Amino acid sequence: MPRPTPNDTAALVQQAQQGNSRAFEELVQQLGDRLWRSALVMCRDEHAARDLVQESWLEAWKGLHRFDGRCQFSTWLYGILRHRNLKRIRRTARKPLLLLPDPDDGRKPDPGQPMPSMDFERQEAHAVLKEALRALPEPQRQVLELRFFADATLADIAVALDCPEGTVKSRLHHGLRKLRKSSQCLNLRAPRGESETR
Amino acid sequence: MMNKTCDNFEELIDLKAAGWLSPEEATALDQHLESCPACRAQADLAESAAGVLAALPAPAAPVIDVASFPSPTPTKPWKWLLIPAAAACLTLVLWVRLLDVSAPSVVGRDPVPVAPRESHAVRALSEAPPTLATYHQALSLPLDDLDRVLEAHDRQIMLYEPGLTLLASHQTL
Repeated sequence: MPRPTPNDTAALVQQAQQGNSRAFEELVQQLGDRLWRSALVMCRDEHAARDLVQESWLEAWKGLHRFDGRCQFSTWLYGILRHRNLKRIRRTARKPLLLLPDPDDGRKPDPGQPMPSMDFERQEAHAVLKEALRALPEPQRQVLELRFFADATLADIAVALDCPEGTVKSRLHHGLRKLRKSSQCLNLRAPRGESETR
Repeated sequence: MMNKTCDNFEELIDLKAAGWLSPEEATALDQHLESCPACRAQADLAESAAGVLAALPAPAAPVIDVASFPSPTPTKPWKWLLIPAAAACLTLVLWVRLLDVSAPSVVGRDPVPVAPRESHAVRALSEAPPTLATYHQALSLPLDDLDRVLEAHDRQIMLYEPGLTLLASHQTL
């Protein structure tokens, strides 16, 4: 789904601020998946992420008059998400789980049934990268997941993790470098297949 | 092999995969990638990793029922004025109470006993002319009251010196 332009979003926000719930629904449509995936990354628990997303949208709706347009609407929304998540952690006093929820977990693949639309090499790359991702320090992994899994912007991630954008870039670089090295270990070929590996 | 120049581009390779390069950085990196197969390979690996992460499955997003949300709270800028207003009211009430205590009693209310600030004798002597007889009478008062009498006379620009002399002679006795 193509990312909506800031102008589209700004117009919808303006309408929503005037009480137009349809415009707010449109915003939920536009940003819902990104926020949901980000909540999964931050909560590491599907049920908690559902609650977090519900609470965040409700708080955004109730506090819409406070949004003054000084940042992107999504960035403002990520601020709410972070705030609600901190409250949730305090409330439950539970450490976040360490792994991204994986639908494959607990289900053994049928050896006689190859995974559709995925060749062996790609499956292997998938498995290796997921393993390498799990081995990353939590801050680096969060940045990578928020950027690529949740499609969050640099500003959104900085707000969600409450750190400067430079730190976000640095974490992304260090995390991605480790993933590249892991891929190299198995001599994985890049999709283009024309490049030589180190 | 990546060389030392390539090291300068390593971070840009990862930031490119994230789409976080400025136009100038992107141009510089693209020029380098054209001439460096090793860095091209790294860029491809970074793109692959990003692609795999983006393709990770996620459970279906919850349905957000905006219609069930309560009406948004309207802006109430005046509510912040409530705090200073409440403080002002409290101050006013306290002042009224204070004045009420020191004021004479009103009809229908029990009189509030107010301790006299000075005894009748002290007041009479303070208002009396500062003659020696007055000072002799004042000598029978406690020292604090005697001070009050002398100060009262001093304020009236009366003869203070004889009083002090009398006081000194009294104290030496």
